[in-house]
Amino acid sequence: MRLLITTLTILINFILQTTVFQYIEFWGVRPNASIILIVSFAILRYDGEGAIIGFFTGLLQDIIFGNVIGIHAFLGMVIGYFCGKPFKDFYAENYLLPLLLVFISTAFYEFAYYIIVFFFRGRLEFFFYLRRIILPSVIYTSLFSIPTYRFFYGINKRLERKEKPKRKLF
Amino acid sequence: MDFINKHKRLTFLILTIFCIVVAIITLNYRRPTFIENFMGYIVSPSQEVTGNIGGFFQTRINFISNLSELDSENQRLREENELLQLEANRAALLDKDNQELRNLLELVQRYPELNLVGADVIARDSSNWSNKFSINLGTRDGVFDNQVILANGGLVGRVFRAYSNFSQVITLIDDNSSVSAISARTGDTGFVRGDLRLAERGLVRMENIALNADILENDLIITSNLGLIYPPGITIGIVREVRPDGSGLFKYAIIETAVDFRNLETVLVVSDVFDREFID
Repeated sequence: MRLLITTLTILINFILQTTVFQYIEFWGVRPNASIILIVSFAILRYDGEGAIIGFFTGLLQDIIFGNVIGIHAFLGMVIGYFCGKPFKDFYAENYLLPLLLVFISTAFYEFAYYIIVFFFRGRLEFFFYLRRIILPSVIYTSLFSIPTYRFFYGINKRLERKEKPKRKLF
Repeated sequence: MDFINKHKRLTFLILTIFCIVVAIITLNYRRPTFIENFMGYIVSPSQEVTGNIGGFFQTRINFISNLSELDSENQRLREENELLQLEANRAALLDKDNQELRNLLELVQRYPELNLVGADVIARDSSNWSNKFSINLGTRDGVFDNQVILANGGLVGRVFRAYSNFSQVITLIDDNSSVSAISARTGDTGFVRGDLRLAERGLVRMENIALNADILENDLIITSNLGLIYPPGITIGIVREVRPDGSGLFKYAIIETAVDFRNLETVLVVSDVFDREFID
């Protein structure tokens, strides 16, 4: 059940991101919904599952649109793994930690992507890319994560409620 | 899941190695495997539906907001249509003449006739770093790697990778794209390269123009017959600015593309592959 719902969420997220989200472009960037998904599930389900979800979310993006398979998958996995570390004094209902983690993750993702794909091809004007892509993307994605995290939290809560009676049997 | 939670470090390490190995394997060239085609069968029909729904609302919103301009635009288009009709008739006559003269001189056709197939844009790359999109035709519809994509009478790009039921298209303004180009008026050659810094405004950069070339503003830039992928004579855009480049050996030009990349919905696929034997 959980496997099915998670797979569906990743697929639907990707489809929305490549079709509908192009209409909500702002400051020349689109919100990176994949990162919000990875961070949300990592926070709610801890690092092991976070890494796996991040890996497959990135892999899907690599397969459909990537030049090289592996870049998004790797970055997604790293984000999922480190955002899933148990944080002290954290309640899943809290809004601040997801916001902060999405902020850091998006900054890391965009920066790493710039280094891997652009810097090594001789596009050295880092501050231009920082101003025009990295910063707007980080801010927009963070703002976008506030309603979206709530949504993923709801999905996870329902799944956990369904799983509870099953656990008692064993 | 239990195994993963027990051996987190190990999983992390294995997946990292997997990513690196796959990246190295797929760095230069890859043919789509059944995994990718399978994903395509799941993802691209849904993208088509979702994209159509999004596009439906977008068209309605645009229609309402443009209502006042429609009348004057209609008038203008009618006049333009009449002019173009006249010109088209004249061009047809000239073409016939040209054909006859060519036949007399036994010259090879320089600008080949293009067979075009219409395709819908179904999805755009979600990353902010590239300008790619996918179309709803794939290898089963006879679309292959490196076929050329046109729209609105201008060059859009080429098929980067064709899958079974959809294809990735890399556009002219993508940071990785490069086209051999020529100025229609003077015949000066150069390379048109996409640049992320200009892509947002629909501009590209034409590099490696000789210093003594007399390229001026408003010159038409078309594809040259030097490249292996693009057929010659396709409009790329119009020169906006010419500047000397940093090395002092060449100059470069900023070119406004003929195609509006923001609002592409349907494109034309050129169904011939040019000089295919050189590509593989």
